[in-house]
Formats: sequence, C-alpha cells, structure tokens
Amino acid sequence: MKADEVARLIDGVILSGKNFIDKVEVKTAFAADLMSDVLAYVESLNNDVILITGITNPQIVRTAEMLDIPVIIVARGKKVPQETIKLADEKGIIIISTKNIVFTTSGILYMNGIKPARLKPRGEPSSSC
Amino acid sequence: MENPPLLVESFKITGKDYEHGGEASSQIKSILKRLGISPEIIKRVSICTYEAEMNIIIYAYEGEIVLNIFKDKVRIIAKDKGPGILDLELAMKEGYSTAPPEAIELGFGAGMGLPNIKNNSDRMNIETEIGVGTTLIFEVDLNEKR
Repeated sequence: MKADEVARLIDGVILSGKNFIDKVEVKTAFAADLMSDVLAYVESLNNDVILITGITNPQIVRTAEMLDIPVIIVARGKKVPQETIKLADEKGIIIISTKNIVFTTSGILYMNGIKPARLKPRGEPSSSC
Repeated sequence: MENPPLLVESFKITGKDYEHGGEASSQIKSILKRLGISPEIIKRVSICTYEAEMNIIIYAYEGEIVLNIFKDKVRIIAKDKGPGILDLELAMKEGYSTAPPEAIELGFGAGMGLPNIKNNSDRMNIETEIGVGTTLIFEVDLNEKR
C-alpha cells in the first residue's frame, strides 16, 4: 500500500514527507511507545514498516532512522513538536498524525491488508570481547 | 596481534542532552553507508550504537563514542564519566532499569538497552567502576551472516 493511502484510511494529516508520500510503499506495521522495543523486536528487512506510536519527541524519528522505517503514525491526536517534524524532514521520514487511538489505527490498517511487522529472531546473544 | 583500524572517528556526548540524542549514531550510520557496508550490518550497528548513546545521555555526565572500522568488523567504544553500573548482572536483564522518568517519556529506560546491544552485536564487553564511569565495547562482524 502506498503511504498516502495509509494517511487517507486513518483520516491522517501529513506532517512531513508530503512531496514523496505517494511513492513510498508500506506493507507491515508495529505499534509501540517504547522505542527500545521497536529497536529490539522489529526486523526491518525491506524498509516497508510503519511505526505507530503515541509519543512525539525526536527520538521516534531517530528510531525510525536507525531501522530504515519510512513512515511514522502519531496516534491519539498528539501534537507533534516542530523539532520532531524538522528532523523527519531532514531524514526523509514521513510523519502522519491521526486523531484515532493506536487500537483503531491498527485495526483500520489491518483490515486493509497491512500485516504485522516481521519480528527479529531472538538469536544467540553475543560473546564477550 | 590485531591490525590497526582502517578508520577511527569519535563523537562527544553530553549527559542529559536528550535533544541531540541519536546524532552520533546517525553520523556513524552515514559513514557506514558511505563505505558500502551491507544494510543489515548497518542496522545492527545502528541499533547498538543508538542504545549506547542514549545510555550515556540518560545516565552519565559526559562521554564519547568511538567508531573503529576494521577490514572484517566494526567496533564501537562507548566510554562515559558517570555513576557506573551498580549491579551489572541485573542491568543485563531485560526489564531491569534505573532510568529517570524523563527517559521513559522518550521511549527509553525500560531495561532493554544493554540486552538489545548484546543481542545485536557479535561480541560485547562492559567495564564499570562506581562513581567513575562505564566503558562499553561491542563489535559487529562485517562478513558474518546471522
């Protein structure tokens, strides 16, 4: 699904990435307020994951950047600070804001074919160096 | 004897500077990208580096992240001046945290940081001294398929 279709489905407002939102393809999603969990669990192999969250600070953009997550949805109508939007613009990451809560946002996307994000295999932890 | 690194870059980190949290990791990610390292390796290094950077910001007074690139691996050294880690074994447990509320508001400080680094790196080592600081070293191999 194209990211502009995602924005339309959840009645979202596009806060960053307006110029290229119709070119970004997304297939899966992960919802969390805990960025460490996003970093721990999401296997972002194909750069097609949507991050659905209720927090708004620039760390959501940094987390998306580290994992090559192209689209962030900020739920619950939370006001996104300008510094977060500015960083997303710099990094080429789309932020969509929606009044829907995380549950509703996830439900709408799931019903329209967005799948759960692939999770990382919890493999062998590293040895010491 | 280990060969000297092909590239060394270091980044200063300031404690409590939440606003710039992730900037060093972002720059390290760009360097690795420029060198043509595979996206999967870059992601693993980025996750670990970002967690290490946030740890310095959350817990320490100041610190430094040093990137060493070798022919066959990336090494990151995250060294801080800070309170040190009281119980290293507990700190390595998922879900254990001593983070202040402001870190939790940012989506960190839930006790996933060090376990995350351990799970995404090939080798990791921590040395810590109470009241002095902590040095975390981790390595990610460039050729290994996980």
